[in-house]
Amino acid sequence: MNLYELFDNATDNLAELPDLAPVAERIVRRRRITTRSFSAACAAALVIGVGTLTLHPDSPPLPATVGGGPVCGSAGATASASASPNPGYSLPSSAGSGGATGPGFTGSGSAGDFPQQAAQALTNLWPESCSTVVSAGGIYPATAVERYQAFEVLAGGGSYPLVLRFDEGTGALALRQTCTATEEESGNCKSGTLNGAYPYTASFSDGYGLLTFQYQTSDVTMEVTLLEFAPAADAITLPQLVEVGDSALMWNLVGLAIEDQVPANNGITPSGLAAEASSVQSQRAS
Amino acid sequence: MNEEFGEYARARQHHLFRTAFLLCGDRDRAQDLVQTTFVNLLRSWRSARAAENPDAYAKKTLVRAFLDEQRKSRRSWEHAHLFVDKPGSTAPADGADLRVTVLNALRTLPPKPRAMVILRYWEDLSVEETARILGCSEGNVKSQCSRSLAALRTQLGEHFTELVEA
Repeated sequence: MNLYELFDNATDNLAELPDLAPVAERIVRRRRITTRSFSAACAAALVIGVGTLTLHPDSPPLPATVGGGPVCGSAGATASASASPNPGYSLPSSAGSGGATGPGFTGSGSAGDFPQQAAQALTNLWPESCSTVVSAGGIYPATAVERYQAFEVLAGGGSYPLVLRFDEGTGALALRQTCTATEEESGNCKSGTLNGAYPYTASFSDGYGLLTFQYQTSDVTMEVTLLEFAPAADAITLPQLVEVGDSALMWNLVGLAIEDQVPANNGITPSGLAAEASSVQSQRAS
Repeated sequence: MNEEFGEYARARQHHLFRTAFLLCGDRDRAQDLVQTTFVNLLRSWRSARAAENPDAYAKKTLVRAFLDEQRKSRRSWEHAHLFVDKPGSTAPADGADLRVTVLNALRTLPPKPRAMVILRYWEDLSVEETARILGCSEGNVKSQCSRSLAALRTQLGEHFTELVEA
């Protein structure tokens, strides 16, 4: 008996292993997303920190108007345009929170923290001045997408629903195809790549009354869905949505979503959203 | 996520599991080693796929995972070493006894020489390939294998005098 036969004999009774490839893929995917989230958090913290340090604490509030938008006095905006990671938006409140140094989005926390953290991040990002995003708390009827979180944008005396939807891998939330030339010309559709890598499509879906922004990495498809039933929402433009989606804070939200901090969901469909929105509208009207 | 990787992993995982079992002598640790190997392999799958011999890449990843683990838990190896039967105290026999004897004999070898023997006589790699995987010289492989075979021969007793010479 030679050495090979001895070794063969010593290992020939080993039971078959379960398929380890999917586990390995999941581990690698999570590590990548964790790394990406950490990088995004660092980038956001750096930008916010530098912005905060450039402000003198005793100086009068600086104009927070960017791109011609109004100042949101009640929000206590004190940052300058150069401090914003997302030029074109109203800026985060810091004075009103007792010297807080940033939007307070930490990128960590328990599952219960996600709605609050996401709402705060979205409030800081949302392109309408003086708007506030709050967690809707309700559950939308749905059947397809893995995870979502519903919010409500409060702006100018009105409000409208906003939904973040996430889908790991190649699930139900397939990326919309890129815009046709006709759609691009109409201004109702815009597609390209974020960070030069991830394809996105932003579009008005008139049939459902939705304004959507989608992007897809190798791991996740994300969609920001905005229902266009409120006049305030009509002011949101596609380029503004693209900027929201491309922000570091939004990447953080994706990281949290994949870290299972967004409530699992059986799914959501555009038609389900539209029906729910109609219901909400009629309730408000009555 | 990566069908090609999935197919490769499914096709090779049992063989890698056997190699890992010979290296560490424990089924659970062997499974962990294979899992670690797949994770590392997937992270550099593009390079592994582009390599002339993806199997060599996988073996290298497995052996390095094993040696890394050994470095981190050096004491556990030393502890296990204390409980290995003394030379000649175990009479080799068929079946389970033979398996235990072989695994005990392997455990008497330090991690790197053990990996050399397994790569040479189980994976059937050449001296050059073994040296490349372990990052040492060919002379080192030859001398370590020679010493390891002598030790194994002593451990395994008279029944295994036909051991392959280096």
